[in-house]
Amino acid sequence: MLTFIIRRFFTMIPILIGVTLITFSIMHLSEGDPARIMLGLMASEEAIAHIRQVHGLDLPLHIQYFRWLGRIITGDFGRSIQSRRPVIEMIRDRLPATLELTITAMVLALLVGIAAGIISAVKQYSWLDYSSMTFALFGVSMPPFWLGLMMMLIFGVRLGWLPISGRGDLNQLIMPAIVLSTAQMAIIARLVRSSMLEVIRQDYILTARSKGLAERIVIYKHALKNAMIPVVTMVALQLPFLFGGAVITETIFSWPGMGRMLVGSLFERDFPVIQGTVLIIAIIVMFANLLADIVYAIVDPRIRFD
Amino acid sequence: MPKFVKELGRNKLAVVGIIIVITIVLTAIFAPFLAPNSFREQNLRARLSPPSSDYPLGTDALGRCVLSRIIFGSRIALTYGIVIVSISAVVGITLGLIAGFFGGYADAIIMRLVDITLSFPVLVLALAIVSALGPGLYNVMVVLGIVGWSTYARLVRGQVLSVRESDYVMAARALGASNSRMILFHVLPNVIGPVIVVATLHFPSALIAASALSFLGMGAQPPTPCWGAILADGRAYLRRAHWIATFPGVAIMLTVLGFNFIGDGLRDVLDPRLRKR
Repeated sequence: MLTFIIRRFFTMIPILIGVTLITFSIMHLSEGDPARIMLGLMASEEAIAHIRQVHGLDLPLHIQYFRWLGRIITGDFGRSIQSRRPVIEMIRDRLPATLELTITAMVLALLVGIAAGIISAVKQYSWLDYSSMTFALFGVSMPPFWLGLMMMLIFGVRLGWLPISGRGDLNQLIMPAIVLSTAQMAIIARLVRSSMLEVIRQDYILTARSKGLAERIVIYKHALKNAMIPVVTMVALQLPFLFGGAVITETIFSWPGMGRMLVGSLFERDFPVIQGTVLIIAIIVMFANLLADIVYAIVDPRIRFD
Repeated sequence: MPKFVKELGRNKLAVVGIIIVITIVLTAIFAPFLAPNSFREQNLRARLSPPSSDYPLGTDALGRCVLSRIIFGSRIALTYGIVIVSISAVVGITLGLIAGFFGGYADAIIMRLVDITLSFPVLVLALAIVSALGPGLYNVMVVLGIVGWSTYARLVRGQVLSVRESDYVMAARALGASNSRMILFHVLPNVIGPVIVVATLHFPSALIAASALSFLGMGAQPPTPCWGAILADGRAYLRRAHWIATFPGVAIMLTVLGFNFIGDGLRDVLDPRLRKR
């Protein structure tokens, strides 16, 4: 198992290099002088020269990349052009809010999605199956920004049950977490259903049943364990979408996380903040994928010997 | 009629999906005849009016007809979907074919590129790149098209690996067929089925992503009637005029639902293991 983890860890190195290359390139994709773009047309020549010097923008690109990478490795993500604060500090302030939202949304999606998937599979073609699959179809089809606004309109503005923005109170987490989890919930429910249906047709389930085991034990002890294997992969694959969704959800509900900070910095073209946020999100996704692979190897030992 | 078309016709949800998508396509084509008003004409006296006979879905903050903007917006929505899916599919299929067919270094490099792309949330990467290139319809389509290639590449590579060793490819190789001939005439036709399913299911997610970028102000710029941007306009008037935000969202959801129905139906038809489930 340890060999598997070490091997898997080493495969991350070229990916990490690629991720930093793409993140670094973002600033250089814009036409014209990045220093002028960051400071705007009205900026003085001195200010532009200063930015150029701070970011080493007059050096050849590969030198710029290695200098930037060297700083990133030591935890120096540069300073925000707008607020002048170190980017790493800004991320440190915002990351807990984003993690709170994404983890809550994922837990919610797993709880509801797995329960709905199991019920649908066990009671196939019943009204429970039809209604949860209809909900799942709408769940994957609703744009999250629209769902967020509609929930705000109904539960915040009209009924006044829930606050429509901010963070701090548990009440304020409910709507953003539901909005962020809806699509994941639907995807998980559909996957668990089809995976369960495939598993409960296997011979070993027939054997378990013919031994006279209670249906509950057959489903929860024998079938569910194997039906969960694709769910582990799916959860890992859905993580990037969850972070993408967090950008939208945080913006709608004024949730003070990294996503909202990213959107704010886009319009200011605050490249150090954009690069820092994108890089941190990509690294979180990479490590989450590594974790998922390890969990996958634990639940399905065949993987380790591939 | 091909067998799979007949089978698709028997799938009720797929038929509903086809009807929805045809309706949207017809709406986009005949938009000038269907829209009750101009999508750009402002009537400041009627700003934020609720739905009425003159303005069936109400007006926005500039007094523009919301229904007409949604009808014309269907053109942008379909353009988004078609262009994004086409770019992703062409790039992904090409790289997937190369990786699967040639193997070796080409495969290793392409698959690492896939891993790198999959480490970024599409929306986050697209937002960052579009902000660097500058907001706009064209940039959104190109960027989302380019960042979406990895799913196709992975799928096609996997398919090619199994097709490559099949007897008919071996036979073609033995007869002296060139690599390009084998890829184009023997391998590609046999991997295209699953690609169609993925493309059909990619269309709705591409539309949602493009609408999200427009919602955040990175997509088509005013007065272009883009569904995501109309929705964003309505955000500020949620209390006074909810219809500005409500109806474009319904339009996005219906379009996405239609494509999801077709995609699910196609998958059931093309993957018999999942049938009757």
